Amino acid sequence: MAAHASTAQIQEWAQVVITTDGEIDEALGAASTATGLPGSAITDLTLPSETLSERERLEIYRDMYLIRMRDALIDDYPSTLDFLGWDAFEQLVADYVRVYPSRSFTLNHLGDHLPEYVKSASNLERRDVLADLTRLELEITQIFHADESQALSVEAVAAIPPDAWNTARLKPIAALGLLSLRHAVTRYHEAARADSPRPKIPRKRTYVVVYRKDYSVYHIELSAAEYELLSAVVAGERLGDAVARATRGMKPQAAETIVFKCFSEWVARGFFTSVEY
Amino acid sequence: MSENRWNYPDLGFGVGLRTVHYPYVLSQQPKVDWFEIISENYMDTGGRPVFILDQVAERYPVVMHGVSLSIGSTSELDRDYLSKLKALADRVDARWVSDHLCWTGVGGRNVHDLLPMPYTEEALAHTIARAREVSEIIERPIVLENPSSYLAYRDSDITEWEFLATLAREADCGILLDVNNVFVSAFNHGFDAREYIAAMPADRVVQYHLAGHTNKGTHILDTHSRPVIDEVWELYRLACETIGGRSTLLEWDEDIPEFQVVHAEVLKARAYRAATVAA
Repeated sequence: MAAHASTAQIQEWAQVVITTDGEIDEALGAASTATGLPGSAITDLTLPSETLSERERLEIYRDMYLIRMRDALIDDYPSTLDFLGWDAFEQLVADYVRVYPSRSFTLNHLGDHLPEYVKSASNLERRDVLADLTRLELEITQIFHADESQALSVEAVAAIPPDAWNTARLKPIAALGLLSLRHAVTRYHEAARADSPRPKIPRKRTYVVVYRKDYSVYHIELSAAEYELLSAVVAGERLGDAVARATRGMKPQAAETIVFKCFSEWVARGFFTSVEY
Repeated sequence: MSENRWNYPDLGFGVGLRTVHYPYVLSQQPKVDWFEIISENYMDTGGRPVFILDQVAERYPVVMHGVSLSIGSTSELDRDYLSKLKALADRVDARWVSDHLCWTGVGGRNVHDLLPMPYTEEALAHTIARAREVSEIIERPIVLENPSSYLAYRDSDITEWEFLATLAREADCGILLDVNNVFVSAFNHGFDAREYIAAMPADRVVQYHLAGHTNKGTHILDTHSRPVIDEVWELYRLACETIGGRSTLLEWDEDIPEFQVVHAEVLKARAYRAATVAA
C-alpha cells in the first residue's frame, strides 16, 4: 500500500534525498531513516515523467545541489581550488557541506567554517597549509562584505595634539582584519589569482592585514612588530601602551621610525575611522 | 483587459542586474527601463554590492526578486530574513518584491534550490497563510513566481496553475508569470502551457519573466544561459494578449554576454507585445 505523507514529511524526505551525497540508494535509505517513511517512498511520493524515472528526476536536484555548493565555495576559495585541484576540491565540498550545510538565506556564509573544517580533516594532505590558505581567503571574503565606514583623514590625525597621543585610541574601520599564519600563503594566493607561476609555500610565521579601501579588498604582510602594534591598536589599547608594547627592546630611534612609518601608511590606507583623545 | 489590482506601474522592459555588468551600467548609464535585482545578493553585505546598488537605484526603477523566501516551507518563517528584506526594499524604493512559489529548505537548512511544492489542499492552505503573513511583515503584497520544476508528487491533486491562482486570490498576493518556466515545466510534466496562461488571474499578474533554457532531450533545464526560443516568445505574445501588457524582464545567469546583447534580447519583447495591441 502506498504511503501518504504530509507536506512536512514530503519536504523532509526530499531534502534528505537531495542533500545526501553518494549513490541515490544511500540517500533514499537515509531519507527513510530520517522520516520513518518506507523504502518505497520514492514511488509512493513522486511521479515519473514520460521520459525520466522518479530516480532520474530526483538526480537532477541532487546534481544541482552539489554544483551550487561547489560554485559558491569556488567564489570564496579560488586559491584553495587552485591548490587542491578540481577533483580534490569537489570532494572537499561534498565532505564539508555534509558537516556544515547552509543554514542562511545567503550563500555568502557557506564557507564560514571551512578553515576549521580543513584543520580537523585528517584525510586532507597538507591540511596545515590549507588551513592557512582558507583562513586568508575567508578573511578576504568577510572584509569584502563588511560594513563600510568613513576613513579617518590624514588631516584629522595630524590634528591630534602631541600631548594627547599617549592616551588616544584609534578605532579601526569595520573592513579590516588581522591574521597570524604559520605558512607564507599570500604569494601563492596572489599567483593563483594572477595565474602566474605558483611559488612553494614555506612554513614561516606570516602576519597579514586584510583591508578594504574604495570597495576593493587588499592584503599586505606585516612584520612581527607591526602586527603587534596594529593588533593592540585594533583591540582598543591606548596608543602609548600599544607603541610601548610593540617596540619594547628596540632602540628609541628605530622604534620612532617604525611607529611613524606605520601610522603614516595605515592612515593613508584608511585603516581607521575615528580617534578618541 | 484589466490592470493589476495594486496599480503597480508598467515599467517597460528591464534587465536582471548582474555583477559582470556593473562597470558598464555605472559608466555608460544605458537607457534601460528598469532593473531587477536578486534580493539576497544585497541583504547581508555592506561592501561593493550595496554601493553599486545605491547608484543604480538612484537612476533606475528597481524591483526585488528573491530566492530564499521559501514561502512553501513547513518550517518557521525566517523573521530576520524578512526584516532585512523589508529594509532593503525601503532602501532602494523597490517597486515591488517577488520570490518563488517553492520551498528551499526545512529544519533550519537551505538547499538553495527552488524545490517544487506538492500541489495539495493542505499545502495550499499552509502557503496562503504564510503569504499573508509575509505581506504583513514586509508591508507590501508579496509577488510570487511560478517555478520551473523537474519533479512532481503523486499526492498533488491540484494543477500548478490552479494552486497559484487560488493562492494569489486568497492571500491577496501578486503573480510574476515566468513564461519560460511555464514552457519548461509544461515539457517536463506534460501539461498544456496555453492552458496554464489562460488560467492566470489577470488582475494579480504584475510582471513577466523571459529567459533561455537548455533542452536535454529528456527534460528541459531552466539555465538562463541563452536567448529566448521562438516557442517561448509565442507564449509571451499569448500572455500579453490574454492577460495584458506588464513589466517584462529578461534573466540571463550563465554564459552571460555583454550587456547590450542582454538588453537587445529583452527589447525583442516590444514587437510581440505590440502585435497584441495592434490585434
